Amino acid sequence: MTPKQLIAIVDEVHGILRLKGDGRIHLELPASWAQIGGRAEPTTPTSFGSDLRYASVQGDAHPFAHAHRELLRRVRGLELIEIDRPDECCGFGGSFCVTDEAVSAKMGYNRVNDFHRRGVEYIVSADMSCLLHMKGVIDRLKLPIKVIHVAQILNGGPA
Amino acid sequence: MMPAKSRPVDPEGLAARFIALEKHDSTHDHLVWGMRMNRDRAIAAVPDWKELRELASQIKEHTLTHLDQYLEQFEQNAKKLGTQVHWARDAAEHNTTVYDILQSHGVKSLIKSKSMLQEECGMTPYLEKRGIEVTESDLGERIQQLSGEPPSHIVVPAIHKLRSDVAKLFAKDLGTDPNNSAPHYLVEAMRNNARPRFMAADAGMTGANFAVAETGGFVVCTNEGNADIGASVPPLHIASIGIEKLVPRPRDLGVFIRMLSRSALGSPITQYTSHFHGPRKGGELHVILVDNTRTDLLGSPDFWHGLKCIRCGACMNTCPVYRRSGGLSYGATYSGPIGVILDPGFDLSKYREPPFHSSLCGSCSEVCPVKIDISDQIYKWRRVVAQKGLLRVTKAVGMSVLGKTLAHPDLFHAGEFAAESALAHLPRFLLYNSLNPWGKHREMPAAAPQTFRQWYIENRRTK
Repeated sequence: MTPKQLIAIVDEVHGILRLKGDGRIHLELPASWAQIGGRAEPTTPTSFGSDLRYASVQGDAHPFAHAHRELLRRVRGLELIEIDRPDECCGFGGSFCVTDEAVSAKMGYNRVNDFHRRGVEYIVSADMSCLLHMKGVIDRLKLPIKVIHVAQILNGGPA
Repeated sequence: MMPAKSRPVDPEGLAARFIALEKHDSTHDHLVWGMRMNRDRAIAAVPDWKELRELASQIKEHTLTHLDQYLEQFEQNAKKLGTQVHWARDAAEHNTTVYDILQSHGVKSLIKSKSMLQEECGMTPYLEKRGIEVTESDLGERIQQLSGEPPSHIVVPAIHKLRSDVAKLFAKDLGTDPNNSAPHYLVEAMRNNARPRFMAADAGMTGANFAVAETGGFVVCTNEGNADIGASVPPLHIASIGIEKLVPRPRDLGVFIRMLSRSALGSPITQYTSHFHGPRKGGELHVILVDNTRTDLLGSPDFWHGLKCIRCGACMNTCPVYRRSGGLSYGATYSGPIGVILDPGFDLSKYREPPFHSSLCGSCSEVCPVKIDISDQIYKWRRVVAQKGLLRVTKAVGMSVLGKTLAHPDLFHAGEFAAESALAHLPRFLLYNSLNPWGKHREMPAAAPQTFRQWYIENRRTK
């Protein structure tokens, strides 16, 4: 049983895929990003019962599996980094992040450390809440990692 | 029935205490994640896993929607094999049935293998109170029994313990060296302790992983062979079987047995997969078919899918919240994602909190071999808790304020402005204190120079 909002979320990403649009992927390579270069890992957003299905390494492969990973692979000057637990949740979870503070923070620390161990410079996601949460952890730990939305890269690299 | 007002469990608080035991928490996370990884490798080697999953789900849905027929068919065929069949509406009926059988055979000591259903019914304390000595024969369950704790995981019950914990426990109960935590040493000690109990037991009890309607037989899967010896040495074997354990035909087992251990531990099959068809020569075999709220669940459009569960534990292994919390934090027979959706059905008031002990990441639904919509059900239980007025006060107030704010743009913009100003200008001690759980371990986001809405109004808005 697939919840309705799942399709909506996946379609949204699909919309980015067809940015220049005729059903095929067209990408203008962002010059600024290529100049800066960088080591990035597209994190798997795992908000409510949905996003895992297009970035799943666990279950049935979803047609949109690794959609933004595939996109980012085509961006010059960008090195994609594999981490130990690519599909692990960052622990934001909406009100969960305050009502279940200990578990939520522990998940956030573990996740950020997984990126940090690999020398990741940018954590890329299509989910703002994941980025918000991980940024909170990164800033507290004073780590040299930036968070960035996938659209920011596709739109020309970090400003 | 259950008492109306039970004290709610506190998974958040207990999880925080488990996390504070840093070594336990990190080891637990590491080991349980390891099982998830093993599972991934195991299923990657099965090319038709996707079809198997779909088939398993369909067989279970078919059986559950024809359960009355299959249960009666099972009963008839089991009786033909010489098995004595009992029915139990709830935990109390199950326990009295067991006790009656034991009493009529003069049983003083009982050896049992792992059964979540017997756990669910609180059978062991019930029998012990009546003077029957009960010994768990699964190593992990025995560790838990000696600790006076329930299992923390449905497959690996003592996974939250370190080897050094077990060494200390065995030193107290078995007289081993408390400083020797070598696994082979501890296992050997337990083996020597348990073996005479098997030989002396008057009765053996098991659960069942699957019961086959067409044959009246049932299947017990273990890795230690403890169910087999427990069922074979004493003359009396009693098996407790939840009514959702039915499958129609023996060939259906080919689907589930391929999936069970791969999903659980990543091994192709359990070491022992034993099929019981009637009593052995000179012995007696009793099965007790137990409802205990299962028919309530079956009648619920939102939650009946939970009955498809084959108790593999894959959802627990993948759950990031479970791995950090430890299973005992859920304060229930079933922990982890499957526990979150089963426990409220037993006692909503007591288990009102577990549905909130989840980040709703959805990983559980992804790995479930029988395609239970676990994460959707977790969300639906939250709604039930709210509708019954059982939300924690802080949560109820917070949600109500949030609801009003999000429903009124003016209120929202005022709140947004206040938050931005606070973040930009307030001193640290006012932002970071006990009233702000976010700030305990995380920095607040920086105030943006401009909100998206302001940018949009300036740049893109068409009159």
